[in-house]
Amino acid sequence: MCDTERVKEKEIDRDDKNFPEKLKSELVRPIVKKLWYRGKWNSKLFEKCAAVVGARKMSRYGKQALGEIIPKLCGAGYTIVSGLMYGVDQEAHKLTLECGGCAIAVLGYGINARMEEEAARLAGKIVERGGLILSEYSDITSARIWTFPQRNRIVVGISDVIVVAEAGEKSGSLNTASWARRMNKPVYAIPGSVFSPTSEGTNWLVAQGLAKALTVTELNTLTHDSNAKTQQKNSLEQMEERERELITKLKVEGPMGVNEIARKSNLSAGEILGRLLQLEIKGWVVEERGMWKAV
Amino acid sequence: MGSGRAGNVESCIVNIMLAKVKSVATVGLEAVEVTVEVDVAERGFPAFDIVGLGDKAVSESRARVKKAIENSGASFPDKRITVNLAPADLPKEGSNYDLPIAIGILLANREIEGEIEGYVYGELGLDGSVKRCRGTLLVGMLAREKKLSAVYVPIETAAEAAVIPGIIVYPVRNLTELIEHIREEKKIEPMKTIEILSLLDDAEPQVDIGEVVGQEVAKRAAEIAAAGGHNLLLVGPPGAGKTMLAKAFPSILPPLLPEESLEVTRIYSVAGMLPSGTALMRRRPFRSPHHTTSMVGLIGGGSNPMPGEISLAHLGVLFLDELPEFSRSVLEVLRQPMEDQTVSITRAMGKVQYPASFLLLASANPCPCGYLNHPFKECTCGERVINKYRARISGPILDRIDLHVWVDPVEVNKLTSTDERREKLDERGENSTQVRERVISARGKQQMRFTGIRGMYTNAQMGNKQVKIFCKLSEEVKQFLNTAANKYNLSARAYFKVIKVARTIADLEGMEEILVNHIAEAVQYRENVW
Repeated sequence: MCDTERVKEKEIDRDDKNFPEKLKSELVRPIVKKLWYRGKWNSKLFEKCAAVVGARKMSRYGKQALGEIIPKLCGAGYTIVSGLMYGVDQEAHKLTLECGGCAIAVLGYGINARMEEEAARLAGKIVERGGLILSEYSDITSARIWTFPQRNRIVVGISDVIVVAEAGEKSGSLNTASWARRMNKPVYAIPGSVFSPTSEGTNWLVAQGLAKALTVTELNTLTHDSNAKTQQKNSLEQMEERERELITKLKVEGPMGVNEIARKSNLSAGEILGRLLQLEIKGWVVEERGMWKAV
Repeated sequence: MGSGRAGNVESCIVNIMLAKVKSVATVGLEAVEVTVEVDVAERGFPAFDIVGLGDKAVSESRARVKKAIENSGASFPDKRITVNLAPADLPKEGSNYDLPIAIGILLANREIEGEIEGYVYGELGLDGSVKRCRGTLLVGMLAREKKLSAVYVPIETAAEAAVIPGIIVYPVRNLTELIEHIREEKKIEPMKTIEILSLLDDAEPQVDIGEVVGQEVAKRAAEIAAAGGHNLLLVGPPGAGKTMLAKAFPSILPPLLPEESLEVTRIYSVAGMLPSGTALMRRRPFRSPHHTTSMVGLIGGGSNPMPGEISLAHLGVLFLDELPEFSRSVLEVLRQPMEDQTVSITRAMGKVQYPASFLLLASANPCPCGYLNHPFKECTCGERVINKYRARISGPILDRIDLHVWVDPVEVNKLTSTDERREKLDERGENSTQVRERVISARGKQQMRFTGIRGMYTNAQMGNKQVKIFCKLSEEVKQFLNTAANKYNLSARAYFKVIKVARTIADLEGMEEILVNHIAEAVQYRENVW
């Protein structure tokens, strides 16, 4: 997927023929004059891009959601764009590399500025796997409070679709979303629990109509993957009595932890654990943050 | 050593005033016979020397012995006294040579006529009283090994030796009593042999597992841990009941076997930690060292190496509360003993090997603030802080923990809601006795399984080789395990761990064969909580 076209220069001008067309759009304001980069420049990387952004603080839920979404996006040929910040950004990059996808990281500081160990290691891997590290700041320009929002406009600029994984109330990801609005790019937000502080921002985006909630259907249309639902599920009748009981219980009473299920049923905790895992493998139930629910 | 009869006065030549009394030195968990030779010479300036590599306590023994003899109504000879502790090249430490030295002097000086056979062991007070000493059990064990008939030990710790059958234990209260005993004026009443089994049956529970409300999953994991000897890690927010559960854990452990009890008692006797008047460790030890404990405190050490917490937890539980708070270097030293179930400590005084086969029970908060993934409280930790916190427990340590369990915070309304509901809860919760019964029967199965394999008692101890022999999986089960392994990205190591845990779950149910549900349950205890 990631062919190499060697370009030795470490910078690329706006009038270079390889400069991404998308960034030349007049909607990208202020205009991007020049980009510094690491890795092998490859125009194909920019053909179909999805930005996956989110808060620095990531919950188990966010991690789990990314684990589902990113492989699908990669599988559908998207290059995953993010910001190399710890939290959702780094997780997105990592997952992309794990499932063999292409990654672009856009920095909010100079291309040669010192990075934290984890970020540096990840950056190295991205380059190694044919991805790119981009920045509009030269050399060792250090990060400022305004460089990150500016960076977001490039992330949005080169992407065709934006996915906000998790965002708190005042997350920078909301800034990304507003760039996307200005540039007319579709934004998807992963909805979360109303109680979860890490989902406040994403829920707000959905509530305000600024983003579409990223449901399974949406994800499938996004990745043109329509066979996902059909493969699942042999009929309820074929199941064992106890498994059926568990599913019915979860359907009627909503998501529950194992302790609660044990209290409300006649099964022992050990048996419930075992059954739930089998049901999860068969695709009947899912676990998130210790709560099990029927799907 | 060993020549001639023990402790008799060499009185064939009148001019030589020499006496030999047998005593015992402890080196690590081993006891070594020591002969206390006392020479009282008429010629030369009055003096009192002790040779034979004694430490400060031994050399100070001179003052105690002198005063104790005088205060017991006997006279201390104004002659040249030389005491040799043989073998002379073995370093000796401690105050337990006071009593044999005193007796030796009195015999050599003909203050008392008679014989003393057997080991004499004990510290003297200035008033002649005999004080408690570490390692009394070892004295009894050595006496049986060397086929000696009697031991003279401090009355306070005499019960330790009294569990050894076939020897006579004389509990000595003070020097006068022993003098009268040797003179055959008034015999000391020997102590009755204590039946080990009679001591072991009662295990007074501190916290019953039934008192832990809710936490069904954690309780189940505790049951599996106790049954299969698996190490257990509990992760959860503060106040979830981790510590409470840990405290209830000893109540579901199987009782000590008689041999096991002796093994544990030996360690406690050497460490001087048996409560006075107690003959034996009746229950499996439960050690919970504070997280500021040093490396030496944990594995043992000192110039004359003493057992550390891991040896004191031998055949019992080592509970490390707030595991990430322990310093990393301290935790790392656990790796070798966890693997070998024994620890060897080398110091200037020599090399000692202490057994350390313990079950590690650990608890941890999920992050520094404690509220990561809490259902209604917000965690205030940044990702990096969390990563740093996680890194404090290294892979190799996690690797040795078979069961990883997330402990939910208890919802207060569930605990205090209507009485009716509360009753229902109590009804469902089992008490420790019921759980313990299952644990004992599962252990029984394991004992049968591992007969003939030395040092292997539990499923947790199985290596990959044994897993292949003892944990045969049917095709269906194997297929399921592979599916699960793919879905949850189980490593090869986790794969075997799951099988071992599944073996224990099957044992708990009394099943020979490992079924899909056993495997499925075991997969749930994989490393996804840390």
